[in-house]
Amino acid sequence: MDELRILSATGALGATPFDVDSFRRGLERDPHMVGADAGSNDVGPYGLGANTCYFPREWVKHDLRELLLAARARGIPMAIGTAGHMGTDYGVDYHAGLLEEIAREAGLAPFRLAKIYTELDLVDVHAAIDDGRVEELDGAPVLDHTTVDATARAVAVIGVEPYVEAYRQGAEVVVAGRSCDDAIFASYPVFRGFDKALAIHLGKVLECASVAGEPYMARHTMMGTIREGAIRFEPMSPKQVCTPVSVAAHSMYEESHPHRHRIPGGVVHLDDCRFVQVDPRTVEVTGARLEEAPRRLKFEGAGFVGYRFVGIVGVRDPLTIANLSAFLEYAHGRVVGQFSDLTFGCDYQVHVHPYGAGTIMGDRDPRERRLPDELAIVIEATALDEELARTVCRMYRKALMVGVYPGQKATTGKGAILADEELKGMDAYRWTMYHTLRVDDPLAHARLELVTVDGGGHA
Amino acid sequence: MSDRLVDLASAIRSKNAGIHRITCDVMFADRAVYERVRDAGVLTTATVARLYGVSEDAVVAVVAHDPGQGIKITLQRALPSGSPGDPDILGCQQHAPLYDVEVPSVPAAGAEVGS
Repeated sequence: MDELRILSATGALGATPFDVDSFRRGLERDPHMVGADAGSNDVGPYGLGANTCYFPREWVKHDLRELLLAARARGIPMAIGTAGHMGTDYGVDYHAGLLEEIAREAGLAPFRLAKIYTELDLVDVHAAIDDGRVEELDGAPVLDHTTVDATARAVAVIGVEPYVEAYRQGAEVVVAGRSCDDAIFASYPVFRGFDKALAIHLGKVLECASVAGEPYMARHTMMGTIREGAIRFEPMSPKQVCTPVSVAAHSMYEESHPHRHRIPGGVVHLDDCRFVQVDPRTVEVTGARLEEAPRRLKFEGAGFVGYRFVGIVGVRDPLTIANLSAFLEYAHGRVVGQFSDLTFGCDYQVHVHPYGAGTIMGDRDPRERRLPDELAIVIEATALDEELARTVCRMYRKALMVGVYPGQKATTGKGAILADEELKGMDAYRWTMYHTLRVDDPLAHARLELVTVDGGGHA
Repeated sequence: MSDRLVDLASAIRSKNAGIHRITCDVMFADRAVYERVRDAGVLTTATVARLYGVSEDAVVAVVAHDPGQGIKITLQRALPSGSPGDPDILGCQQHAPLYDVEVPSVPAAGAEVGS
């Protein structure tokens, strides 16, 4: 085969329903594979720790339905990576269950579904620490046994190899747990014998779909083509084009370094790449090189911090705004005094975000802060005891309402409240693991299960 | 004579690069403009550290990418993404100070990105 055409339907399956028109326009190009990245560590540790997919079920099902019906109608493979948003075992089963439901509803003929589970057994992590096989990544703290014990759930981030093995065993649809974004799309061309470095680069650009095009658009389909020595990108929305800059920009997207892309078995170097506009909508890229290295699997873990309640207090009074520090210190003092038998920052935490007064960049903001006309103070209280978290949140918010500062004039309430009751936040988690694990087996920490899904139809 | 970076670049953005880092990409549609900024000496580990008020150790990389006509600036995060208290989980609002970087019309001799 001279080339493979691959459709990346959307950059975040189920986050919002993807654009069906651009996906169907892509189908007219007779693709050899379709897929989508369903998740990320981008949105914090909550989904991994709580083991949940908080995208609306109907949206996830919509995106899976479009992909599955297209793939089965054409007899081409389909791959979903980081299923259920965080790629936990639950996430894989959740997507697999939806695919079975869609197959039944559509009366699809039987097909082979590969489920690749990548959740880590924490016993293995303890053992890896003892064996000296764990390394910190990007300045993460050294991993110790106590932190492993404080971990609710951990996942290995797999590369192309478990996907390739699934295709080798006859998988027609692959639903995988936590995966390198590139592997979702790179694995099929690697299975078909295309150059691995080019395939990884292809997958890296495709993972966010239309984000690699111009103007910026999310949730639209991107087509990637791989042939000998080159890869190409063309957006499937007629409102977008690819340019050398847009594709180069996405080649370095979410990476610490612009031309070194790490994978479990090495580094893909992009410094010799050339990005060439070959027609008004399409960019061709050459030059990715793979440098092999001992295999290290990234893994991610999340641990429970506490229950969370949120309070929102708006301030319009210019005297209060001018005395913001004193105002917040007063509330802090009231909370610490009220819970004097507990330790602030240990038994409970309060994070205060005065939106409008430099909260987004904090100490890193170089701007001289001009006083805004109004502020939103968001109070985030967490504690291991749910009722304590609620009470701390209330205490801080009520203290703000009666806050005292020199020269005050207003003596009713010092804030415009969005609600007098505490707003129940989702439970708070923290990252406990962001490390790599030395492994020899390319299929390590990937459990492959192949099943036949029978929707009751005939091929 | 100088120009603000926001008026020269076609894209200036920030985003998480993993959970411990934030990376800013400054992209240029025009080769000559890219080379002018790259060679101006205004984006270095030291200037970025000053701009963000962090130590130079917190500036992981300031790297020019010739094939893509872009400059990447990577900072260590103050808090891992999504920890309680992190006000910017996606890290996508940390690029704003770069808009105001002044780029001289004539490049300083011998200075370039990252040096």
